[in-house]
Amino acid sequence: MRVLLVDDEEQLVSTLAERLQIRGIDARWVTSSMAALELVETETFDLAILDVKLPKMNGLELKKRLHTLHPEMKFLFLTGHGSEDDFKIGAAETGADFYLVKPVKIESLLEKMNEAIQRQGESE
Amino acid sequence: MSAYQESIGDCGLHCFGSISASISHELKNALAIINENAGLLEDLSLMAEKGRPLDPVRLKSLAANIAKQIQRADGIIRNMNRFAHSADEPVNCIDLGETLALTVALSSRLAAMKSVTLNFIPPSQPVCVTTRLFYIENIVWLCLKELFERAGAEKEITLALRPQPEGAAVIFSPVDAPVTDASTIKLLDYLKAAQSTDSKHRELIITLPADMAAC
Repeated sequence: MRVLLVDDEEQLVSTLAERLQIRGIDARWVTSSMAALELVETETFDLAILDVKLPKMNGLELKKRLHTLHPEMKFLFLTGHGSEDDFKIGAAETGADFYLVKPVKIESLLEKMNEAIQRQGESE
Repeated sequence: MSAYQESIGDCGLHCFGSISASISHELKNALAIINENAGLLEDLSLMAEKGRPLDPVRLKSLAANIAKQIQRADGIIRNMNRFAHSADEPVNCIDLGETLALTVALSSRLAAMKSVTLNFIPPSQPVCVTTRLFYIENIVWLCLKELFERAGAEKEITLALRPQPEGAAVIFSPVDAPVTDASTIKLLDYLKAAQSTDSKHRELIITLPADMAAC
């Protein structure tokens, strides 16, 4: 599985990528939406894990852009807020099951990653 | 605070809510980083149990990451505590330098979201006005919120303070036009404060009377 992680907290996203790599997942990370859009010009990913609140272009907007460029890509959202409004917006984009509130347990994340790959694929 | 509540209480609540949400987001991020670093320590320990050697330099670096985030979270909580108590503080002689430094710290996440660099130049000597602490936080935050939205190519806002014979001036630069948000103007009127712009120096100047105790 090739995974793209996008979060403006570099220490979070780099450490999470390392933990996924330990588990045999090919994980790449960037800290901005612009860097994500640049990266997908040359690389393909099965799944993108996006922070909802990103500077300049938020995670929801980034998801739309990535989906247009790579319709086969699946998505998970991570958020620090966990407010009801954020939940509704994020859940509307990917389904409530694919919207995770930080901090998240790696086991739960892996489970959701696998579900996202399977279930979002089935719904298309 | 009843007259305030009647006229502009909603904008105070909005400010309080937005800053609180921003604080919770920052704390969640610090916790998430601690969570991942602790998780990585566990991963490395499990691998060491299976024979892979542990690198002490790597362990030290992960421990340092955790310590850094604990310090960050502690700073956020300290600011949160000061901010939370500002709402119930009575009219007092307010140190504007301290108050602006706190408001800038509380607004840093919002600035980052708008890709704006926010600076504060502390005054060389204390600058004080008499009012409720929350009113100053509220008016400065409202101004910053609008200025972040329209920050020019510089994408940088600098705050400074200037003592004045009958009060103090809070300076925002580079800014070319006055603030227009209705709540901000209402609060300025309530505090009997005034705004003006200096086109030569590209400054927005909020002039605060020395004594706003009656507000």
